[in-house]
Amino acid sequence: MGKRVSAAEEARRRIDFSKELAAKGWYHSFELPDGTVIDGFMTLEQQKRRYAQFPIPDDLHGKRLLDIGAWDGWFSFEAEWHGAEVTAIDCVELATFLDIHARLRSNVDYRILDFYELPGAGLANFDIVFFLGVLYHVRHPLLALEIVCALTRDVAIVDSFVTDPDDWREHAGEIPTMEFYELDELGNQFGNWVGPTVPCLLAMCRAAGFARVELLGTGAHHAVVACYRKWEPPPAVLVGDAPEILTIENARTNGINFSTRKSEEYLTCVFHTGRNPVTPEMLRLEVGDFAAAALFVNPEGNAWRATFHLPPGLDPGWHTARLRFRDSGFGRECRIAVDILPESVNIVLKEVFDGVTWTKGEVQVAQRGFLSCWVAGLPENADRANVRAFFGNRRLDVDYVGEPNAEGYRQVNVVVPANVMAGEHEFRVECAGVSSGSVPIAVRNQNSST
Amino acid sequence: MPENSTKTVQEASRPAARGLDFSQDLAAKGWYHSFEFPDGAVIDGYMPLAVQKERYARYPISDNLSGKRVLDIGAWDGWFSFESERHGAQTVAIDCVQLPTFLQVHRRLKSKVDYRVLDFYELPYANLGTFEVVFFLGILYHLRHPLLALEIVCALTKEVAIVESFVIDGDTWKEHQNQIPSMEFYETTELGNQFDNWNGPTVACLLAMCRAAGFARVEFMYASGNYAGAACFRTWEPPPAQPGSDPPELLSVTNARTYGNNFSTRKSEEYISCVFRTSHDKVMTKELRLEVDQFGAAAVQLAQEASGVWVAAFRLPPGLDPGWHRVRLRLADSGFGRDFRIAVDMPVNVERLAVRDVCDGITWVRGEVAAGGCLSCWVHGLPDNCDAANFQLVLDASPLHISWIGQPEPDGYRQVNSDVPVDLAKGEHVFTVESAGVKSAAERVRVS
Repeated sequence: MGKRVSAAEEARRRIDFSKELAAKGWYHSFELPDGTVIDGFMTLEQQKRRYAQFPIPDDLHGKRLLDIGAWDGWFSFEAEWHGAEVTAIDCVELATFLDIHARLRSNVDYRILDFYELPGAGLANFDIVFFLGVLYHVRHPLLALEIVCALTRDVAIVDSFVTDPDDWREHAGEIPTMEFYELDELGNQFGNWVGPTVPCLLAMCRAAGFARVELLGTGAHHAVVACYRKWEPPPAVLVGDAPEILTIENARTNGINFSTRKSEEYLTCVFHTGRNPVTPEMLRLEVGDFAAAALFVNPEGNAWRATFHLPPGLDPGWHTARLRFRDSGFGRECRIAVDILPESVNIVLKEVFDGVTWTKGEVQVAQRGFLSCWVAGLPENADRANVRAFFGNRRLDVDYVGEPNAEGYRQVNVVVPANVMAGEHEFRVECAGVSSGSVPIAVRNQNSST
Repeated sequence: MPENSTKTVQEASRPAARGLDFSQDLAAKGWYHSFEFPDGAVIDGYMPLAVQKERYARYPISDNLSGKRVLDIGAWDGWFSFESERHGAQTVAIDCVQLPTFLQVHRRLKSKVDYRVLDFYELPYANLGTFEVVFFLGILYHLRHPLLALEIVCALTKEVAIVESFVIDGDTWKEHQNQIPSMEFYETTELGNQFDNWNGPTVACLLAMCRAAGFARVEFMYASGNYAGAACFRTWEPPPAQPGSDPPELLSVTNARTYGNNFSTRKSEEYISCVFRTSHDKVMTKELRLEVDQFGAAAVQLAQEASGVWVAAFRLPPGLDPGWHRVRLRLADSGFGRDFRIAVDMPVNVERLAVRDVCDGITWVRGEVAAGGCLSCWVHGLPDNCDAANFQLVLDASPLHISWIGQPEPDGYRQVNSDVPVDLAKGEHVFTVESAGVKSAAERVRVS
């Protein structure tokens, strides 16, 4: 076909160290306690310099560390030497890794897993994750970073091939891009899939759900990034007023339930503050142990509405969500439910009122009407999305679910639209597949009765 | 295609890349799709009816879709779903939110389209079956994992998927065809001020991703402004009525990762390695037509060995059910050679293993092998899908390299050959066969 090859393609093909690697037999270099030195493709100095760049403590005792794609294992064994409890994974079992493991009498837990099998491998999470030189070998880079994020408690070190380590600042203002390698375009090797620019690598790390992403440096064909799950420590003196939290809810459902099975789940927080303007950079949200960065913040009436990534890796159950400014304490805490199925045995509908006039058993509808009712038997994680209200078969919007009172009844407010016919309607409430009995409600509709 | 309608397409996709924000136009109209009802009523949406019809007319699908299942992913107001139903298809439409506009048209048309609200990544687990035709129209760039999305689409497709997407170079892509394909990544609202746009591929990148997802053939349909479309086929074109050459002689079909005949659809990348002979002097990857059952698989790598045989690697086609599948190879101008079979996601079932006649594979002396030589034995109880990766011949604690596995003989025993390492200590060793946690009784073997 005689396809012409561009300069860029030629440059990518030259990044081929397979012959040097084959000649050495080892990728990593090692210096063993008995004085033996293994001279790999990467020099010991390079390895030590890389490790020293990582923002992790010198003493790793009590820390769990995961090394994804460990290869010959130098970074795994180095972390173990610093005191960490290390798990190393790779997609094939390497005799070189096992050789060093035996010679060091290492306790590193070495497992053979496909990358995408990681979330299902029952590994629990890790204070520190090394994700070194693996990102560009995976077909779904953003998914890979989400998986890494969900496994990380404190910091992940992401080291990847990039296409522009030397000149990325020149185009830092442009939309980030990545190259896609269908075959062996990169380094004449199959198994390389993406080549991001430095800004693209940083953007993907943020989009994966890390709260803070810092470029540690760039080198020949690669960049190193520290990706944090927590905020920097708050200032010693909190000078600013805390935000006054109105609601913290699911941006998709307006409820308090969140599903980690949805591909994109965002949390929104509505709050009052005397500050103006409010920018995403000022906000510090925490959900359980994890921080989340604001994606955008907009004024809404006299309040502000900010939207955040739901942090990856939350266990099923209740979590505390709280928001502060960079320089303030936290506002009121709210609880959110993650992956909890609502369950109910029996739902009891007590009293139903017009939500404006408080007349029992009827509702006035002009532009629209409101019904307020008290309901017992709703699950703890009942919310606007999983509590459903009906006039006959017609579903009505639920716009408020209150906290239980002393008798266990919760106030539920329902919107009655203008086009509901005047007359009697059977009203009932449903949650988790359980329905209350129905109560007749007289609709006084100014539109249809005139 | 009438020229005036070509212009309409360009009108509809004229807004500049990245600035492309039609949210206000859309909000003013209230509808994305336009409709024309049997009673003559018309809904004037953001996209003109003529553009919709022109897009539909481009798709290489039969006019009569009776008996075909169609999946419309991200149906929005549903014009393409209802149009395929009008052509006779049994259509399933999915979207991530339930749209009242879709339900309204569904009622007015008394449609039988099966409308479901699903997150895209829930599709593989929704038990929808597979579809002859899949519409994946204007969805790809809304997804965080575009190649994964295309793999999912591919696995759901039996014949053809129509993939239309936002692209960044619809008018200029021919100028940089020789460059490495790339895509833009939208972290927040960079594209069209909208939050849920994630990537903007070049036309070349869109086509490359469709191929990488596992479609056998990807045909460019059009590119214009910010849009491009591709028809992605799961099957090869029919073989020539008059073969122009002899079929290739397929010698082996193995998993490129394990060298066995078992394949796992849970691995992120699984390739089929085929060794074949052909009378052709020269063969190119694009001439190879591998089939796994009815699905075509494209070659990604091809090399000729010194012995003259060719070795090619193919993507395992997505969406294979667990079980045995037929593999066969032809060239573009030939018929198929002999069939092989591969096992996909099959468990390794072993109840009991028995061994007889452990011997030197060269001298056939029982109970004795030479270091650096070959060990032969006969094993009973190996499963139908046994391969060199799912059972082991073990001397003391060391697994031996299995070099050959025979077919079961009338008594159910299979001959297995393996290499004996040169540095194996001389003297008596314990020999066992192990598979799926089951171990045979130990045999004594003398290494000389």
